[in-house]
Amino acid sequence: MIKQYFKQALRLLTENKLLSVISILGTALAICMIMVIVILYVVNTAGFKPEVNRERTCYFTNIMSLGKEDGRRMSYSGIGFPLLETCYYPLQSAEVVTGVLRQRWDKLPASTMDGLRSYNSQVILTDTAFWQLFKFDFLDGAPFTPAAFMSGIREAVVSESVARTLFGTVQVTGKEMKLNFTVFRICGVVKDVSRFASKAWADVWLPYTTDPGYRQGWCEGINGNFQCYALLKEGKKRDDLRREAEARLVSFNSTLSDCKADMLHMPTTQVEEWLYGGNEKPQDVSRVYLSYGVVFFILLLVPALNLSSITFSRMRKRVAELGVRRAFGATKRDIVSQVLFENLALTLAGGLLGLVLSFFSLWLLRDWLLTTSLGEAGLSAGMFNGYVFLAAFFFCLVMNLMSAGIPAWRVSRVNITDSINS
Amino acid sequence: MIKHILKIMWNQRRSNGWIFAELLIVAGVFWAMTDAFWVDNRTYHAPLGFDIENVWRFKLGKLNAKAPGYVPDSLYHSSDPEDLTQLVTQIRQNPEVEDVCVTFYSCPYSNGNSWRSVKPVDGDTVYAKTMETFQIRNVTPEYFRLFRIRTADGEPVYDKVAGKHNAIVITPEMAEGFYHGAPNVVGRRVYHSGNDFTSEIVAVSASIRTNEYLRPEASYFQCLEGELYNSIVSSFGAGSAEFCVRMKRAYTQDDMNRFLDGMGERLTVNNLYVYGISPISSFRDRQMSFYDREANNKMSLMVFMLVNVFFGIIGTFWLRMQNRKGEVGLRMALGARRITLERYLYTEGLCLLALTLPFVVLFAFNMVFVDKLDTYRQPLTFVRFGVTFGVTYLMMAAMICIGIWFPVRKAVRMAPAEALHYE
Repeated sequence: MIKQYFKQALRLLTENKLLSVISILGTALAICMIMVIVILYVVNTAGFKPEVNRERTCYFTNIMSLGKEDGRRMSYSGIGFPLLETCYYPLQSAEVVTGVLRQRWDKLPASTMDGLRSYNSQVILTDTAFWQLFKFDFLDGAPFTPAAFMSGIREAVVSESVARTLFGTVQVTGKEMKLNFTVFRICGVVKDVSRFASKAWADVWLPYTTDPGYRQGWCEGINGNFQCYALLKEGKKRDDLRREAEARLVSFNSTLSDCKADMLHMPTTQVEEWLYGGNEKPQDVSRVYLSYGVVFFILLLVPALNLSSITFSRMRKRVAELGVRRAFGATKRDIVSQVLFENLALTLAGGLLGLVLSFFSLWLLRDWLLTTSLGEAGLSAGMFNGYVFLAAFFFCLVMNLMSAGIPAWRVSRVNITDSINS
Repeated sequence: MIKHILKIMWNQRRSNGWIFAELLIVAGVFWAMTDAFWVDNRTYHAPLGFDIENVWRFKLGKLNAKAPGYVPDSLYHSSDPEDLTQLVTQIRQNPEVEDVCVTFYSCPYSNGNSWRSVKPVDGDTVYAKTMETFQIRNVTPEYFRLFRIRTADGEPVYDKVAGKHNAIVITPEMAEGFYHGAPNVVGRRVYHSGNDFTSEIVAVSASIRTNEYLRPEASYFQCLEGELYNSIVSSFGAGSAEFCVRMKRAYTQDDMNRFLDGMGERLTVNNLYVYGISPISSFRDRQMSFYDREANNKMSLMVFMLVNVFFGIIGTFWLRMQNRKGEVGLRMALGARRITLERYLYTEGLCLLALTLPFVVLFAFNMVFVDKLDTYRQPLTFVRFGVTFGVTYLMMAAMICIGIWFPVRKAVRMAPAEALHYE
């Protein structure tokens, strides 16, 4: 039966070419725009390598220092090492806790020993837990060892691009390079990371113990430049982590003389981190979803009105045919589903075209669409996952219902005798 | 003719209903977006208050203790402020350099955002409690010359600041918020938190904006010289200074890199050294990218809607032409000329659009009423409404005309006899 509907729909497609083209292009355009938004949402929130654990990761990115007595605002910035060490590293609700130092805006030149070739690199200073939280693809070597980390030995993990620019190959484990005039031994090479992995992305990863100033901070050790990421244990919720961290903060605060730390709304989830990461005031996530909903609604409604009008007039021409079907015993439901299925053929064709168009426009408009807070990212395999196709199909169904729903309902209600007469 | 058309439109309300609904939604959303663009555009082109042309920011670093050339404590007989001043002097001596200044988290497009509470010294001033905290910018006096900052009367601020001790420069917004438009603001003294001395207001500058998309906010500049310079540099560290240099002519990044190479030893003072350079405009681009992306998003939604209006109109009028071939034929047979016929169809499309106007105006008033329009950056004026409505309806009318042109061209080319055939 359904096959029959599709056959019929295909014949109808070729009957009035202009209208078919309009319907398909209209659908394609809407689906394309929606899919661009969906894809950007997915790459910013769903897990992919190396940030495979995004769903279970919580982020402590900032901390507020207040005056102990008067509660006056003193500083709002990254986390200081003493606080990280006493409050966050020992968290029991977390499987892995890592501390990260990143100079977000300043790149450092990594160069060969003779200084002839150099690569302006984004640097992350971190600990060994970092390599457990994020799953990097190592092309050569391995992460720096706990022993090297503890003793502050200058070892570095570099990205494929750095290795290739400096040495022309990825087999560079054991070679030395200069980073900002200091010599580091390369211990591993990883595949380049997409900038959408905003927490893991860098060109060079070092143990933070190699930075002599890593313990420095202000406000009695509350503030510093660290960020802390925690991977929740199975079965633990973000609130468990928050309660535990808060309890530890209270005892940490009791050891201070002038300041007290307040972690505000931290820790944040991946979605929150993407929406308003680092902001002092949390945004209402549901409001953001609402605004997405409004945009999607407009994107679907405007073309759906076009399609409705076209479907409706097409159906009116076929009222006699449908009347005959009714006269031979087809129910109203049969008629409605026939109209919907026929229209679905159109919508799916448009949807498929739209999905292709969305990847094409992501590539074409990458300067604008694929620019992250860290710089430009490229198209990557993470953008072609199952969620995306599922979402595309879902929006096609919605589109179909919106554009053919009312016409189908109206033609199904036409009186049988009237329709045969017409 | 209009009356006649309206009657026909009413008779065809079934097929007109869809397209009318679409036009209504698109006109409403399109207008709201045009309004947002109006605000952005007007704000963008207002004066910024400073000039960053040919200005570069040098990135400073401190040598690591293990790095070659490091001056150990035993040999170090200087201080951070002295080193920084020395570096400024060495760079200023280069004939290519026009001016050098040092700021802390205060340079244009630096994302710096420090606030201080300010209290007036003269007790007679009525100041509002809510306006007592202002953004502070810590800058050396050369800042005003380098970024070409002027007073409201157009005089260079630098002339007023030069040679003054513990001077601050306030923006007109702060003069307004703090002194409520009282005359003779210049010469008054204020306390600001963190200092145990008073500062004199030596000038009121022109409005300064953080970037092109924001409106000017109340803020003030603290001039760093003498003891104040020393204490600020020591507490923030010379390495975190924003070291701005204005060149005498336009340079490319490569020119600048060569310039740096040429400077050689003069870029280092003890452990303080210059390790990189970027134009202020690159910081600007970074800060503005968010706004640019937002504008692009809005623009693409607008284009999307226009294209859909085009599709909708083409579809509707095409179908109508098919169904009304007979009518058209009759008109032609009775002597209607092609041009009259075309005009008749265009008027019909535009009438449909015109009918949305009262609803959209109602929607606009509603938006004003619930305060959903951006009235903070740009005031609500008749010009604003006039221009935004004008643009909205012109764009949509253009789309409708293109949409009608296509089916109409086919229909009116028919021979009357053939057309009558359908009757």
